[in-house]
Amino acid sequence: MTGIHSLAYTKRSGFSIDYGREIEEEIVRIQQLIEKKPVIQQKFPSRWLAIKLLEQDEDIHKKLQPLEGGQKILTESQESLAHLKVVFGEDSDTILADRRYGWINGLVREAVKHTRPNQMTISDQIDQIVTNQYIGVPLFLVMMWIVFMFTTEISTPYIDWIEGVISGPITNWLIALLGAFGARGTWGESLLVDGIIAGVGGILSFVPVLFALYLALAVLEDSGYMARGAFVMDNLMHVFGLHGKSFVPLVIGFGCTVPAMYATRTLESRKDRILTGLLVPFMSCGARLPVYVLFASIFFPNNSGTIVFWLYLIGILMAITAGILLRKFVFKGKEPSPFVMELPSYRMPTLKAIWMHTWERTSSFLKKASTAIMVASIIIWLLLSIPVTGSANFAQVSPENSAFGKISEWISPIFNPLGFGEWQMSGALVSGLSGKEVIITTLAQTYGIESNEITENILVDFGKDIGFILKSFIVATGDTIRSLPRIIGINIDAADNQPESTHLMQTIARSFDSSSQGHGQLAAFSFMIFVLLYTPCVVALAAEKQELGSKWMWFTVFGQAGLAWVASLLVFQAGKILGLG
Amino acid sequence: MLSQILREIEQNEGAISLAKLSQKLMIQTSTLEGMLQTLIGMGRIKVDNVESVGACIPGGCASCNSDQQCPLVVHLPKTYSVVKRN
Repeated sequence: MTGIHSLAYTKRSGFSIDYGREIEEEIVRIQQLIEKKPVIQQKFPSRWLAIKLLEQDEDIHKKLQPLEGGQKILTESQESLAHLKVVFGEDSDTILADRRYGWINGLVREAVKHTRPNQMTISDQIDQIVTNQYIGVPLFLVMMWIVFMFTTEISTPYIDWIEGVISGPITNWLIALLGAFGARGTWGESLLVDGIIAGVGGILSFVPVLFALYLALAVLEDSGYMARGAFVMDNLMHVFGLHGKSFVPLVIGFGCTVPAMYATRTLESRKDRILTGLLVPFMSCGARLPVYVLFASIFFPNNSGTIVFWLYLIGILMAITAGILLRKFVFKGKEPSPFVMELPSYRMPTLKAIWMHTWERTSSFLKKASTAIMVASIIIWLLLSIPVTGSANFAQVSPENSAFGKISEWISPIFNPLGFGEWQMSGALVSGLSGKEVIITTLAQTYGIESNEITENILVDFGKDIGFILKSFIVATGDTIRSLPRIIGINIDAADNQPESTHLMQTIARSFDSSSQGHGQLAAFSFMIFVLLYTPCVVALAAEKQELGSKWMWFTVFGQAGLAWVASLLVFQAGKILGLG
Repeated sequence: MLSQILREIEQNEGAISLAKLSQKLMIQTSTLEGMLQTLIGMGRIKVDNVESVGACIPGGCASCNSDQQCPLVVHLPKTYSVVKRN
């Protein structure tokens, strides 16, 4: 060994990196073996080959094996690897790369002069505050609050505008068209007006809400803040003993539960995947937002943004609580999950990129409205048209005597103690299992049919209708501009800060007041809590079954429904005792 | 240097930002990125491919009905995890 030791430094010629005594000795030992085999020596430079063998290069292994004496060299190199592993406690490929970087680093230090040494970039300076372990989370919550204030304030006037256009001119044009074809009073008219226009139109009114949310998210994403939000969320997870990487599916869950379920694959341990998958439904998906906005606008018109923000926050707090309990009693023990996160530099988002992200997401919702939601609307209309009691014919039956009305009525006593025991609400919650937006579709259809009194003759005046559409759009835009200061709490228009109530909104308000014996506001909040927590939609359940298995899917089905019922009961009954709402 | 990076990452309970890691190791971020690439090549760390999990099942939630990434998936930063060796 002493001979090799002295050779280790005399054998190197020209430019070569010094890997340190122990490694150099092994390199020379393998080199000596290579030099005894002329066939191999002719093909490969001996030092290069020795290093490649110590790096366990698979390609070199394959090339060396068939050559004469190759197998012996490979066997000897394995001995060197084992020896180095004992000396360093680390694989030799890592040590070799380590030494190379050490050499490069030393060279850079000697050769490169930094004119502005250790100067932090602006991004790094902002990150000192934004990702600070004490300020990061509160700042993230403030940002989210601003997002929801922005979403509700700028979208409310446009909701009224779209609702007015759909229930006014568009419905009138359709009825007039049907009249021209002699189809007035037929089931076809009922399908188009009470089914598709009421159902799909009801949810289309909320496109401005989603557009505003996606716009705000695009700004946060493109500016680089969303990555910081994810980073502080990860820290929050650790404080409560959850797996760090759980933040990925949970953040995705704010968009849609389905891809969030698939995102649990990023977690290595099955235990962590199941735990995270069970927490995903607590995150309010985009489909629940229109429901929150509708009810917050009806019952909390002055604080709708804050109410929506609180619903999202309650979801996060419930997920954390459920996570702690499940970790403590079901999925015991947590393996550390260290990882590095590459935070992009802050940048000014471009209008084009913001528009592209916003439109991509909004158009996906429009596509859903024209496919899945339309199918759901037709099915609900069909069930609302089938007479079960009374003597009315198909599509002429009153909603409470229809198949949908009777099924919903049968379920509704379950919701009586929660403050919303009317059949329309229980029916909406059941149909909401096909997609949470369908709750609005159902409410619009059930309450719409009750109030629709189609006049015999409708005279269409296109000029007047177009004028109404344009004028009401200008009014909505003016209202939106006036509402902008309210995002940061400044009310410049105190006398007129309540959104206009549409017919659907007034009917829902009356219905909740009557079902809760005058505690409409409390019953509405209880309803929103139920929507936040109850069983996710069937597509999300299918994704959960695929990722976690049937057992955990059924756990979610009954667990979430039970939890939602208990939480809503507590909200309504405790609220009544405390004299709230 | 590389072993130091691995040790530094493993000492954390959860996430550490690339900037923080470069500060701790006193290595420039660009150099550190190169080192992480070397560690990826050596199979010691891996990039968590969040983007690929955004693909929905065909028909999915009827939002896209394609194999492409779900438009509702929030774009999250790239993360690197240490590969556990037996």
